[in-house]
Amino acid sequence: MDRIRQSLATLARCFAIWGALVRNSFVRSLEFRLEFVGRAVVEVVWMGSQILTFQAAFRYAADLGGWTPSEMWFFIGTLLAFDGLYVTFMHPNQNQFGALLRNGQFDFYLIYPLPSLFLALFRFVNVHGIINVALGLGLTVWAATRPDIHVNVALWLLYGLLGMGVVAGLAMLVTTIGFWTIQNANLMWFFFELYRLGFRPESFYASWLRRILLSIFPAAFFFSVPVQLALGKLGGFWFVWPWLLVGVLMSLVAVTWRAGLKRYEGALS
Amino acid sequence: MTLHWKPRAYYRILRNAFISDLEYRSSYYILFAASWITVAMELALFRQIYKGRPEVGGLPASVVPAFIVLGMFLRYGSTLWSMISECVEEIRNGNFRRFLIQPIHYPSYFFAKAIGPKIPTWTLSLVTIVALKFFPGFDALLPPGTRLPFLVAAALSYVLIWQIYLLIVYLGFWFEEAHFLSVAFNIGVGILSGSLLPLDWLPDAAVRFLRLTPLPLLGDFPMRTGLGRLDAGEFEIRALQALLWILALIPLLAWTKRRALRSYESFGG
Repeated sequence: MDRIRQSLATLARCFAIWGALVRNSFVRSLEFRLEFVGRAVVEVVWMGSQILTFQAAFRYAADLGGWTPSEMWFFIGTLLAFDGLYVTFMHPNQNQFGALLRNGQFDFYLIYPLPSLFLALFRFVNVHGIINVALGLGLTVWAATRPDIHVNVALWLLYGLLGMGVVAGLAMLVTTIGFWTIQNANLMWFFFELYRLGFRPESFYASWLRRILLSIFPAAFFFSVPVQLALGKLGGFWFVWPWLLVGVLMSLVAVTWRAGLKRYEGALS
Repeated sequence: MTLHWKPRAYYRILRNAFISDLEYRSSYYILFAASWITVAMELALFRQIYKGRPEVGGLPASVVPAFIVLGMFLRYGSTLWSMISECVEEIRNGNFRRFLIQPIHYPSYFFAKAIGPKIPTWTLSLVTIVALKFFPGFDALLPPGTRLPFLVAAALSYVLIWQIYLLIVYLGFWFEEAHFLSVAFNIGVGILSGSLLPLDWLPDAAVRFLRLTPLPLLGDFPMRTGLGRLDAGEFEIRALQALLWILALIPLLAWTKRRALRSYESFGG
């Protein structure tokens, strides 16, 4: 009972500190308002280019990989919204982790009264990513209200967040390699390139690549599977796989993190 | 006006940038591998559009693999933006003043520094394009009589894109957050220049508007040249258009540079 109470207290402390970090990041970002506007422009251009690409494609095909235009807009909206969450809360941390290890600043993570993995995942917040989330949600809502599709909102939210769990698990696994390689910027970059494979539904790809995206590098679970579950295009065991995947990935992250910490020599020790 | 044009000095800068970048060879392998991820994503989209049809929107299915590979090569031009990003950062933190007291022509200096690290990647992708000629499905790639015109068209597009980036750098003297312009430009240029999808596939109104800008000269023109899909005499007209844009941008760049330097207030006065 004491252990549960202790864990809950740690969790509450994590959230309280995280709230303060988000507030600080937000204030810091607004110091450069033009940059904030600029980032918004970038996100609008990105969304526009995605829409233009698929609009051009739908001029010549009634459906793409079994996806109607409404379903595709719903997919792109979801992609933007959840990718925005990832860019906001996790990407800046994974990007900077290698540098923290190299210059010894990771030592400070170890002396904070918080789990070091939590800090490594959520220390920095990129407030600009919120723009992505807002734009994505706008497109998602617009697509979801079109008459030719039916969306289960609860499933969309639940499995969308699980998809983020899969992304976080994989990204953290790659990040922890930094404990062994020190210079992991290229690996991270390659991970983000592979991550982009999830920007298309897996039914677009050739069967061999589809199999890889559903198993070895499960990019299909980032956005495509959650959207298909919410649209009722998938059912049965597909409801279980994302939970299993998140469980396995998080366990692996915990193991590699502990092994990495044992290996870490630090700058101050 | 003193033009500090010293080709040998800039050649050395280029060579040094090339050599120092080769220290991290894995970056090249990763960049090269990452390019194929983009190819896989594009191929997937084209597969879904064509669905076994021999031709879509005037582009035969047999030309698609060549179209994708050439588009990838041309979009390497936009990797020059990394140097632009560095430039804008130098303006932002005040370090740019060192270029004002050194006897160099800094646009040439930056150009040499930008081109140097890209040479291995460009060479590798050119070699790949040549090698792909021997693979089935790539017959449409650089048919006889188009190789030299393609190189000319690609060179013109690279110069043009560099000028656009330089203009963004100069804008950075007025508002320090000019990064976002280059990011937004990079995101949009693939689809709007016709290197991601054939330009004619876009909505007619968009194509009419784009034809008034230099964007099709960055993608559509070299692509059609490399695929041998230009009408008789069209190459000369398009090349002349590209040249005129380049020439028109020279005084604009010079004027912007002058105004920009006048407005520059670095640390140390």
